Amino acid sequence: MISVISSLLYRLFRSVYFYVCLAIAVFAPLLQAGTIKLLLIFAQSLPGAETVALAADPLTLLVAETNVTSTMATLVVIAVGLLIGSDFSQGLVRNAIIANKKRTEIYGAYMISMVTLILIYCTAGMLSASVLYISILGNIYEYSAGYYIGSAFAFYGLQLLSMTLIGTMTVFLCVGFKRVSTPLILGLLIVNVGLPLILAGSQLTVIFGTGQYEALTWIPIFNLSMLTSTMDGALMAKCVVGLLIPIAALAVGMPFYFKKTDIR
Amino acid sequence: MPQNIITADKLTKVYKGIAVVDNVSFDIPEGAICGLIGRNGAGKTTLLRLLTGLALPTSGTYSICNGLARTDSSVAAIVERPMLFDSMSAADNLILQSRVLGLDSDVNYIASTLELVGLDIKNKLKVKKYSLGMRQRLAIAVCLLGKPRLLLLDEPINGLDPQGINDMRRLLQQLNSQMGVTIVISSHILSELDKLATHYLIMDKGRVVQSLTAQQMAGYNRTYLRLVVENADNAVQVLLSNGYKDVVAAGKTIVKVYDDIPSTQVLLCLAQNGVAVKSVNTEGGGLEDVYLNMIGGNR
Repeated sequence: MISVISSLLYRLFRSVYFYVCLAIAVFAPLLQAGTIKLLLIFAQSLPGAETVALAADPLTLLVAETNVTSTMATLVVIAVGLLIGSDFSQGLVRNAIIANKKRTEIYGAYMISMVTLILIYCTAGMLSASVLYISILGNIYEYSAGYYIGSAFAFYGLQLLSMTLIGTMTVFLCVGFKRVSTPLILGLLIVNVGLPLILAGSQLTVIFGTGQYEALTWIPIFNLSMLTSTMDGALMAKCVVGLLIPIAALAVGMPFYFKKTDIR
Repeated sequence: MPQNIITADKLTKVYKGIAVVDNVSFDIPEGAICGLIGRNGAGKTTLLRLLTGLALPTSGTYSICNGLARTDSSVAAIVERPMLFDSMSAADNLILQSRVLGLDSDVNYIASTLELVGLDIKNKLKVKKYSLGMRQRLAIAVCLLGKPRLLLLDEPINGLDPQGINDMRRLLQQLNSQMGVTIVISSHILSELDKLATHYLIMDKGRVVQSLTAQQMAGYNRTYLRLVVENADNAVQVLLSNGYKDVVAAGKTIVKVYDDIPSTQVLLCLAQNGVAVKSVNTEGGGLEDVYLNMIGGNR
């Protein structure tokens, strides 16, 4: 397994796509913070400015980065699909199989490399977002920059888990489809359309004004940013477990699928 | 007596109810160059995929390198198409493979491996810019990195120019004679296999029709009389009715007579029965004819 990981990481760090996606991870918060700042300036000239300011609380924005519908999630689908999953779609895993590596070993190496990739992007993205959101938006709020950054990194672990879920899903799709474009498109649709639709569907009573919002604490992938005001240890634990279950199901179930299928 | 490097026992692969490889059993001795021959859809590529672990058998077993003696680099293969990373250079592709095999990425060794196939380590061109011939050579270089005992090649000379085919043949002969590499090579270019192979596996409709040595193959390679007539079917009927046994029509105007009888006698028989012969000459069967006869395709 170590030899396959070594090969994968060598290729990752020599790939242009890796550095392009890294740049996006670092600079995307700049665009978002800048856009929000412009909206705030505009909104502050209107009645209800205080409400708008509260809705743009940096902590909420930072934690929004942990969502599976965030910009980071889209980036993870693209990066994992192009850099990791494409080997399964295009059959480039053949070289390792012909070299007598066990399939579970190969799959484990790819999963570890995927998590490494996500770790790098999430760390870079969260650092960048912390700096940018605080520096662009932080001067209008009651807490110190240190508080916001510290709180944001409390959610960093959740971001890693939710992005690992997205990455595992992407690799799963790449194993199942021959053309890498298909799993990429599917992954992007799931993250940007499917999951928001599920969330909306779960809150129909709110949409139609017949009920109140209820956080789906056992499906935390939708709700991380909405839970900041009520987050406590028990709720955090539920979020973690709610993320680990689908990750475990995909990550553990897929080797059995990969082991039983012919390689392209 | 050399031991067998590949042993297959009732190997079968079924796709959607069709046995693409059907109950195949054979042995390939170490040190052989084995030509795998068959028409399109005979099951050659599927057989290679089974032997490399890319496809899982439906039933049956096989063993390579006697199981226990096998290491990560014992077997190398190019199946269907070369698996190369297009966005990287030749040297980088070899470094990647050396890492997979757990080898040191020694620059000098990589350079010498590339030189063996006629490529230069100083060439930083990305593989996506390579011609087919260069890709084939690079794929061979990737295979040779781990000094394999067994090399499985699926139509490696397809698309190569005559010089490329010649270079490939010399390389394979060198690998076999100097490094003792056992090679299994599937190809439609039978004339090339004729120059290389020491053993043959002939496949048709998923089954191994014949497994034989080159010497045994030569025994099937009979000479025959080739006659050009106006109506081949009529000529065949005449000869058969006059006691000839091994006569076939190879087209509308070509007759092949395998019976060991002087040409004058054949011509006399035909002339007496009003069959005009435009030309006659003696030819050797060639691998193509032998193969077609074995699979019943020489009509």
